[in-house]
Amino acid sequence: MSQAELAEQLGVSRQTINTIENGKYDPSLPLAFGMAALFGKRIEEIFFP
Amino acid sequence: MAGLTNKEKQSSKKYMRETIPAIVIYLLMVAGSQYLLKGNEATMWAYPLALSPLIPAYFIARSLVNFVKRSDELIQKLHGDSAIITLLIVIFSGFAYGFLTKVGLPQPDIFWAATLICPLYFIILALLHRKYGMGQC
Repeated sequence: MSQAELAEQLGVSRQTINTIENGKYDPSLPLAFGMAALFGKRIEEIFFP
Repeated sequence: MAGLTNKEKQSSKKYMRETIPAIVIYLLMVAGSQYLLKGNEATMWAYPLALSPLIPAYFIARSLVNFVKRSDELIQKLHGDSAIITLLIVIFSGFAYGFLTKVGLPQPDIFWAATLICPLYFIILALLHRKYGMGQC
């Protein structure tokens, strides 16, 4: 799945996805839950402190 | 507008549709009001005429606010951070220059001080975009 497709499904900009992937931005809880639900995983399996 | 989602493209187009006509009207009203005010400063219409460019300026500001409201959380954060930093710079600059006027510097023209806030906001916004590794504003 491309960044643009992921962004489209989550309702955010591709830049936001890119920034999250680069570790420069921590998403809000609703967005993090949305990503976890999209991938069928738990938040702790996607985001690490 | 490569790499933008459909929602972003629609939002950007709407922002352009709202902002560009307002900017054009603003510039025309500034020029027109200044032309009409020459030699007519003492008339009863001077004040509303001088203030008339604020009407399209309000719509420019409103379109920016609506654009930010339609944007996602990161874009909203960047605009919010830019607004706060711009505010702090303006406050400190105002205080600094105010102190300097006590030692002889000329009184500033408020119009130009207010005018410089706009580019300052967007310069800081661009710097914040770079900080987060984002390519465009």
